[in-house]
Amino acid sequence: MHPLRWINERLGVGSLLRGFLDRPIPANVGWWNTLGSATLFLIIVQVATGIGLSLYYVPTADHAYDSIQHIDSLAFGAFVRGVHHWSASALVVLIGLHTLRVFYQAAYKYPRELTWIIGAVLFAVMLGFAFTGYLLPWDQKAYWATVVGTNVAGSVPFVGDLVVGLMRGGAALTTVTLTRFYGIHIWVLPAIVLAFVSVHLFMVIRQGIAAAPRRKPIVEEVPGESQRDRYTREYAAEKRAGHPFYRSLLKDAIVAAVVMAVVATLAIAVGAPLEAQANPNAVGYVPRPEWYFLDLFQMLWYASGPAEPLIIFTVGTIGFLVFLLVPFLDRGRERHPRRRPIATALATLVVVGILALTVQGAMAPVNSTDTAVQVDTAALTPAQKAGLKVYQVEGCSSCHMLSGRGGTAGPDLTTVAGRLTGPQIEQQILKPRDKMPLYTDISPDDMAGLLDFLSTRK
Amino acid sequence: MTSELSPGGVPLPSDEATQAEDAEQVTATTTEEAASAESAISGAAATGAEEAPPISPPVPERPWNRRTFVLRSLGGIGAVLAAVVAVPVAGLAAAPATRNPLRWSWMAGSVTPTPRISGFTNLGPLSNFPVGVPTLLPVTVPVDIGGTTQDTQIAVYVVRPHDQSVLILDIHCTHMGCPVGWSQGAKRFLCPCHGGAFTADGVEVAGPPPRPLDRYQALIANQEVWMGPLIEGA
Repeated sequence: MHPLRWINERLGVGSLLRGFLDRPIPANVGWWNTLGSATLFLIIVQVATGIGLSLYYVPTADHAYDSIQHIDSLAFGAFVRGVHHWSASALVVLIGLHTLRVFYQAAYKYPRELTWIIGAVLFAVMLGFAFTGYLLPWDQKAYWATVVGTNVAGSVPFVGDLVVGLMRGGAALTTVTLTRFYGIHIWVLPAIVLAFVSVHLFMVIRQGIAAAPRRKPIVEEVPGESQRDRYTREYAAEKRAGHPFYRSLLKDAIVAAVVMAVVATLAIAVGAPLEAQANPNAVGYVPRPEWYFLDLFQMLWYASGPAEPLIIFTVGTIGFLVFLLVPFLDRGRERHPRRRPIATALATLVVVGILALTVQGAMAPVNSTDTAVQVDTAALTPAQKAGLKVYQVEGCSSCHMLSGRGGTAGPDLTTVAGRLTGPQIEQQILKPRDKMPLYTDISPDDMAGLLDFLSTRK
Repeated sequence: MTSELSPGGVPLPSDEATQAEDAEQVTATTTEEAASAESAISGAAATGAEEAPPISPPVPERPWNRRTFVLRSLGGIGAVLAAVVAVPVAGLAAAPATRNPLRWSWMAGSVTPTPRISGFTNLGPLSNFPVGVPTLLPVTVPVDIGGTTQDTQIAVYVVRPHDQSVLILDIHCTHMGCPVGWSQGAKRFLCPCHGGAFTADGVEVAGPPPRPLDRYQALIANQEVWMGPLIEGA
């Protein structure tokens, strides 16, 4: 007897499996529908590589960094860590694209509202994985991104301190923080994912895969028919015109293979980054989060003011609630993106906004204390060159940007001569309005040179 | 409307006799419950099961038969057991958070990540610190972290605004906690993250920081500088 037949005789899942593979699905289920299965594939990759890493990783501030270096020195160690790192990034991209596909096709409408809500929670859980995961190497990026991240989370009104304390395991960010992030990363979040992904998949199978919306409906309009009845009739027609589920599985496999190839290539060619060991006293270090949090990091530029924590909290909460409750906010019967112009436009706006903030965050200037100015001196007179020297010695670039180099506390001076006259600049230096420090120790000669130099900045 | 499945699931064989006895005693409440359970099931199946005939004959039930009693008791006992396990675990996880001095404020702002110290530490003679120029000073102090006392390096800025006064500032920007650096040119502490700027005294002058740099208690005794506990920023 064939071993599989022997097993099935005892397990009795053969008919279940046949029903699963042969059930009819709509004909227009295509490549876009592979994004969900690719996400699932990466979650499995994350679990497998994560288990591998957990065999060597030591979750204490004393040894975490060394254990990561040790993993990198082992056979396949750097590769497994590289795959874990890059598939985390790929996971964020794919879950985002999967969400967009579902949104544009309005697949969250009856009867799939709950599938969307569970998916939205899973999206948040994935970001939780990313946030808890990148503290674990205990390198500089890990430490400082967590300092900032926990402070952002502490923007919750009234209980902000409690939230920070719960996340860090006390007020300070120490080895206690590391162990609890590890526990959450490998136990709590995976448990939530296991439960929610199971329900998510169960519902996908139970309700069938949503058909892509058609511009011309597949069934005739029946006046006075309820939205539910119409859906039922429509989906039955889609399935009649459809094909068995197994036929679309090859697409899923191809996309999973492409994703794995990309992730493996990045893991080998670039590897998982590791900065210097975390140094809580690293004055001069410029914290920057992982790319998928750059948009949030950049948003902190725009929300400043005494009410900032309240703004962060309100925008964050409303944003997530809107995302979570999409099926209840868009209750119309239309599914085609062109027949839902407002929903489509809003989603596109959000996507463009997130991309713009991410790019801006990636290119954001650094407010550095030792920023060398780079100016083409060939066109400058000797007096103007002397003025440039004054600019550097007095530390103007600590606060001001000049042709892309310098700080950001003050206004950009790249084209200052187009805005202000020489006397106006002098007035600002000697009797500063707003927050600029007073510079009275500049000699008249130096001042003249400085103004001469700045007059060339148009 | 009738039900193809009762709310609790498929009837157990031992309950069949009871079910049959109860057949005529169905109440309005039960019918509603059954109907909502059915619509949940058929909604999930999404194949128009609302119109579909029931697979088995309707089996109405009395609200308090033996099966319902067992299931509800199970739910109650399960909830108690879950709480008995979950509450201590959650309490253990939350324990360190409740031991901090918490600011119950609508906008409390950032919390410095530096380990908290107690007592006073000698930072050396006052003459080591120039007047007007902040000095970045790493201090090694024993700190209680997670139940063990560890020698921990804490970096602070020691500022001597005047001859006989001293300030000890935490290095973290009060906006989001990035490490501020001293710019001698601008005479400002500058934050590399979102453009925050502070004077030598730690007062916020530009950018998003909501409050001055956090300070440590500072003493001058016999021309020596001593550092005390952090004064939590409010």
